[in-house]
Amino acid sequence: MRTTIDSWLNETPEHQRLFAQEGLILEATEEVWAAMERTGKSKADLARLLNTSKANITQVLNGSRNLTLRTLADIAFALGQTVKLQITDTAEQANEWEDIRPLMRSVRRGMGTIQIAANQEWVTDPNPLRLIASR
Amino acid sequence: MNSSVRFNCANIFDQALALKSKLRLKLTYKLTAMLFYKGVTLEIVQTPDATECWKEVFVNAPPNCVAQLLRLAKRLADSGKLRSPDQFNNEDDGFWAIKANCGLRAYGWYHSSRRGVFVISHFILKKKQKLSPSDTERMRQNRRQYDPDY
Repeated sequence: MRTTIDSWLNETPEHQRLFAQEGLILEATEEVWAAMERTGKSKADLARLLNTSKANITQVLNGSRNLTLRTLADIAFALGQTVKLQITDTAEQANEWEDIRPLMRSVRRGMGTIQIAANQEWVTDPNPLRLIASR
Repeated sequence: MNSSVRFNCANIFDQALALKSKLRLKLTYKLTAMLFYKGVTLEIVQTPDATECWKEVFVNAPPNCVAQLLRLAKRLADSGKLRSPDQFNNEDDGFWAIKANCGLRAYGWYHSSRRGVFVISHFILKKKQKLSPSDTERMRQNRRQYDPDY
């Protein structure tokens, strides 16, 4: 079924470009939020560590202020974290949000088992809900 | 004794009517709610009111602004949450707002009986931060129509 998002994206390539742009910005800001949660730091703490205002941090975190790589590196450094960057083929991102939770629920109910492959590659077994290793 | 029997019958009749009404509403919901985006964690649907607003949004809002809102909605549907309260905020009465920086918002709620469904009531392009009473009322009206358990 075609969704509202699909329809908008298929209007023009420009829409797809803007969508990709906003995706990266959101990904970066959500990662900063996640790092703040992990390290127990608030926006005020981060502002103090970076010697800037809390309003500036708010603008960076809601995507209204441009987040430069330099600022991102400074934020990560202040939180004791490291930024990992990776550029991948768009087609390979189809499985980006492969969610294992429904499978784990089935496993807990005794409907199958999971084995982890040495090369981290997962393939489905003809036996439903059973994952086996492949090489 | 007779009055008691009559009362019980009336009660059953009322319940049957309520059930019929609920079924009709659920049927209406299934027929008219349009799929906005289906993510890993959430399915986002939109009311006909939202579909109408979308046409206006498409004409009036800058494309980068629309792109930001769509990205936020996609992230919400895929991961189940948005961490920034500036972008996803709990408003009054169980209503939520997905907010783009330019003032474009999508107001909605988590469906009461269908787990994992977020319903967008309507879209609005505005500068004011606070939820206006007219938007709250509009959401309540839409919710009464599409959420039988509300």
